Amino acid sequence: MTTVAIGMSGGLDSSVCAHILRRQTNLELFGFTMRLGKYEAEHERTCCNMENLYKARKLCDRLGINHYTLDMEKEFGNKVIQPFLNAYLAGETPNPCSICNREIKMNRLLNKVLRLGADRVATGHYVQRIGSENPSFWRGIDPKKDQSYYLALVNKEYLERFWFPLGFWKKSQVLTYAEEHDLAAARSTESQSLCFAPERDYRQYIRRNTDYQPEPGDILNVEGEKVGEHTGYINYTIGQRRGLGISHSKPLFVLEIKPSQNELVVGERDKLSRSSFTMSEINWLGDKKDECSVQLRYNSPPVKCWPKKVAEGWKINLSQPVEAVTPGQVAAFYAGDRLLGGGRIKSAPLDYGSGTEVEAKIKPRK
Amino acid sequence: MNLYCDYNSTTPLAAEVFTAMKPYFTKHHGNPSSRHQPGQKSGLALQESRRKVAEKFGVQPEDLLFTASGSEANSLAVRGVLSGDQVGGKILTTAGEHPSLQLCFDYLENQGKRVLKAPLDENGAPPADWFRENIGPEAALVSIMAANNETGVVYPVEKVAEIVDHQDCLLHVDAVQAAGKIKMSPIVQAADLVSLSAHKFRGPPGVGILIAAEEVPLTPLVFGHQENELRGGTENVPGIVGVARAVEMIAPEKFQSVRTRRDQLEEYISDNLAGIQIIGRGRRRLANTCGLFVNGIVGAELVMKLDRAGIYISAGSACSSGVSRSSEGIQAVATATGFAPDSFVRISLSPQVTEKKLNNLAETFCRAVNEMRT
Repeated sequence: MTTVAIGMSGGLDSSVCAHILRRQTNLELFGFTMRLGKYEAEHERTCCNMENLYKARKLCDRLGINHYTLDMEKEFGNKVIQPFLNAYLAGETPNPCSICNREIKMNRLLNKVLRLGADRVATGHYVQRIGSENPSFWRGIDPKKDQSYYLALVNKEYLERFWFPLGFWKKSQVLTYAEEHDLAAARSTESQSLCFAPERDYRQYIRRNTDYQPEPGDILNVEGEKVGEHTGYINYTIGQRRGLGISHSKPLFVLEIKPSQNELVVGERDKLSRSSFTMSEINWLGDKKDECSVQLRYNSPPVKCWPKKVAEGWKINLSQPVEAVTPGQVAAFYAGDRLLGGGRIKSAPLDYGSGTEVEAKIKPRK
Repeated sequence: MNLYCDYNSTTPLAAEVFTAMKPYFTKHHGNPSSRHQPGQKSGLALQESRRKVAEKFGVQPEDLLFTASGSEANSLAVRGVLSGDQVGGKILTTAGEHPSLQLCFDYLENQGKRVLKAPLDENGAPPADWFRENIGPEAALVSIMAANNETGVVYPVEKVAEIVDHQDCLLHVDAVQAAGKIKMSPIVQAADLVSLSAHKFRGPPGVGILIAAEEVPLTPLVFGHQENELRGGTENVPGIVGVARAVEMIAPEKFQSVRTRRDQLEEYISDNLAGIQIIGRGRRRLANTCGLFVNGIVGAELVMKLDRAGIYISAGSACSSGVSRSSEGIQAVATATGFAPDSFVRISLSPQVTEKKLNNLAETFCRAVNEMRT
């Protein structure tokens, strides 16, 4: 008898997912909620609050299935929050949700749940799983809600344990279902990025949780001349236009962040485009592809590309220039709507050959 | 399967207790302090309950205080005797005490009191000699539990009482876990203050008892006229009637019979699982308790896995919101034995457990551990 564990945040999508499984199947089920932080008042605005846990438990009680709370605080701190901080200090713009899926949800948490006796895990992600043996994973049917991008780094063997009932639904249908079945109270809870930061602002989070003091430094143009001052390099991301405080005939954009020199490089818009970028490794869910398309941000349109294996990893040549290719962000590869895999963007060097390896020289405190 | 093996965390309310309590919810709701008949009826029930409990424990009715929990009885005992001019008075206790006392002692330490804690040996018990070595004229209070809730190991209360006897120092015994399971009279006779909790011996939750000899000076935690001005608050008459009935039903000699089942369980586990250590085996222990480390598993996860099979045990100090933190006592024993603190689980059997259910428990436990270890 297949036992399916349902990941429940207390939010609308996972609540509908649980309800569907209970009402439409005869499978052995139990629900679980992971606890990533303390349930204290100051964390009320994060996802780990008592209200959300209460919703999950109450729904399981209503559906007549067991519920378990699984403590992942330590692992989350080590594998998601710490690397998140280190990435910013290294001048990158990290994507913690992708890391969390890879290291926590579809890895350590999965293994805990399997040890409890589950065979599969169901979640409310908007992703289509096609096939039960050797499955492939495709964008969710609702293009506005597709979450396949965030699965690009997940290990293939682990991902194959997951079912995604909502992949075939549009959000509007999920909402209708929720209204009909009295699940709409879960609506106020939606998991969000930076779930662990009540401020939802990475700069404030870093300020409150590390020893790091942003140091003002120089802003240079592409010729290497100083054109202004920045307030601390972690306050900026590639492609950023606002907050530079430089007057110039045309708008200027952040082209590069150089942590070891504490410098930013800015330039006019035409300098923001890249025709290629590099990656250290690619997590392929199936066979490597010589030609496919790549998506460089959540919700940005994919572009045809050719990934090429090189000595230090991979070089991805793009069929058309893309603006603001940002180290640390996830590049997700697709064949049409089918997710092929992905990895982190290492660098997108400018013509004048910058983009060296950087190290975080300031260690965040716990 | 629906096998409750977490007797030490709480016990099911005895039917007779519920029967005794019910009229004081439904019919006789008077306030015992009132002079009219409804009040008098409750007042009489309160008085009778107090007499029953006193008689059972061999103390005077005026030596008993009813509280809302064992934890409150603990706090009242410790803070009640240490308020006021106990300047410089040091406190001797152990590393295995219940959080209601650990946290109280932490607080008192922050307030400047000296608190010394006896270490635990690999059986989870404090050596009585430690008290002999560390007591002295400055000792104001010794606080020691009668039996540890997690391991079931019985602490050397009588030996410590002898040591305390020669000093001008008070002895408090937290008997919350022990009452109903071992004979209380030696403890009650030896100690100045004894804490008890109704829901550990089939009484209702929300009722505790502090036995405090009348001459022990106590400063209240909760002020008011009730309980001889030592513990204010309108009395929980149904609860007190309930605890009195439960106290009447206490029979440690009958409780002892569960020892056979517990020993069978431990033999089966020892024969069928490697990498385990049962704490206190061969030492004096509560007859129903088996606390053990299991290599290669996380206690909290084993609890959940067995829950799926309808078997209910416990692991360290877990709580339902998912935060698990081993107690100081378990950490101490873990260090002494070389096991991971979070690999601890506790099986505390109900005295009603049948041989058939016991066998089921033993087999399922071992199977679950093996599955989690692969």
